[in-house]
Amino acid sequence: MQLTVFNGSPKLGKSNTELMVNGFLGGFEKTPGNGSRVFKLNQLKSVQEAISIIEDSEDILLAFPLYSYSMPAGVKELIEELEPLCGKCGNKKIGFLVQFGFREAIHARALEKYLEKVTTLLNGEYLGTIIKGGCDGLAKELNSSHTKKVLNGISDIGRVFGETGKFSRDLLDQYSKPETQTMLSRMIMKSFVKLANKYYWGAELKNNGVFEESYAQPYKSD
Amino acid sequence: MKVLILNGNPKAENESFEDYIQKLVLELKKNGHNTTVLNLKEMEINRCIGCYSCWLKTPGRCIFNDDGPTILREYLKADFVLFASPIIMGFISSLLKSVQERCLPLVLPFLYVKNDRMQHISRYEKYPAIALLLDHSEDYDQISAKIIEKVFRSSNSRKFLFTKTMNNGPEEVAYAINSI
Ligand SMILES: Cc1cc2nc3c(=O)[nH]c(=O)nc-3n(C[C@H](O)[C@H](O)[C@H](O)COP(=O)(O)O)c2cc1C
Repeated sequence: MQLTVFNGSPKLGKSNTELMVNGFLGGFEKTPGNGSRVFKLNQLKSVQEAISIIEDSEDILLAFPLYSYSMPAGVKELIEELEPLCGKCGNKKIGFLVQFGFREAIHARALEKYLEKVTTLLNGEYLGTIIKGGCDGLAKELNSSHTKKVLNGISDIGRVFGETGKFSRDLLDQYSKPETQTMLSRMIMKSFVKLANKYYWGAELKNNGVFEESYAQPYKSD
Repeated sequence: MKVLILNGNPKAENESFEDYIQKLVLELKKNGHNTTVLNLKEMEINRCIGCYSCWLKTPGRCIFNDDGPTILREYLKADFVLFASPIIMGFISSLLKSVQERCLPLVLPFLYVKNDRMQHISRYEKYPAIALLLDHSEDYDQISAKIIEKVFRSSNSRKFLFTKTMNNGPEEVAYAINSI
């Protein structure tokens, strides 16, 4: 199988999406004969170039970070430009990968419904959406056990897709956990976010010499 | 009340959308609201590039010196903000979406657990209530409207009030705004 992958992260440099895509492809390409092409959406000359690539592809993975509970504006623009292909993608299988900062999968569930709907509008076959929270620090903490676990998990999903041509619903469900925080896990998460505020965000503010201004309100009118 | 309408219609040719907004503004002014419309398609709005400068380098301030900061200042001044957009491929326009993303400086990077999920702590003491106005063209369907509303409701720092479509007359939408 030849897979076309779009990385829709709007970042200019290294993105968490890229790491996740690489993890997925590591598993996918274990099956002999499988290959892939990866395009960074914001490095293409135009949206039209992306559309031409899609027209030429049968198996597509659209990967991006969650931005304000849905897709980044650049990814939405791509979807808008796909309008002429509505009903004409009967030969295409389309899957999605959405990763983000908050831990709980629930933040991406409305978007998941939307992605399925868009695929239906195009008349493509919906493979599913890989949802994974807690990904904000992946690229920054490459060697952490958390990063390794996240990348191993997506590699498994890629491997099974490479073997069967399908996203395993069981693996997706397992991978996206937790859906929300339970009564018990809330207590743990409360301590976790305190640590994250201090040692993840706070440390970076300190590093940048602006810790004192953390709470600045520059857009408040006088 | 200070009302801000973010007009996310990307195409000037969509005259019925523009007419509707104008009629709505007249109604709101008639009802005594201090009403501002920002026609986003006429503004310079870069898309967020996820650099987190607004959180970690120049806290609260976006790296782009375009019309984004003007929009955010107006946003914070308003008591009520109406996000208006045609439904395009089942969702709000990428234009309006880009403004939603540029609201990142309005919250802090710091997290807290609200009920069963994580959220960001607010940067400002007061935020406007918000609502959605969607068109009712051939792209309209209830499922899309529900999904869009859910996305807007998810954001914790804003009080989401209602979704109306242009099937409701401008007087009706103005009435809903009056009732806030
Ligand atoms: C404008 C903006 C909006 C974001 N919205 C969300 C969100 O709604 N939920 C969330 O959990 N993370 C959100 N994030 C965090 C990103 O999804 C997260 O950092 C992701 O790992 C970035 O991926 P990338 O490095 O591939 O761009 C947002 C980040 C930015 C810059």
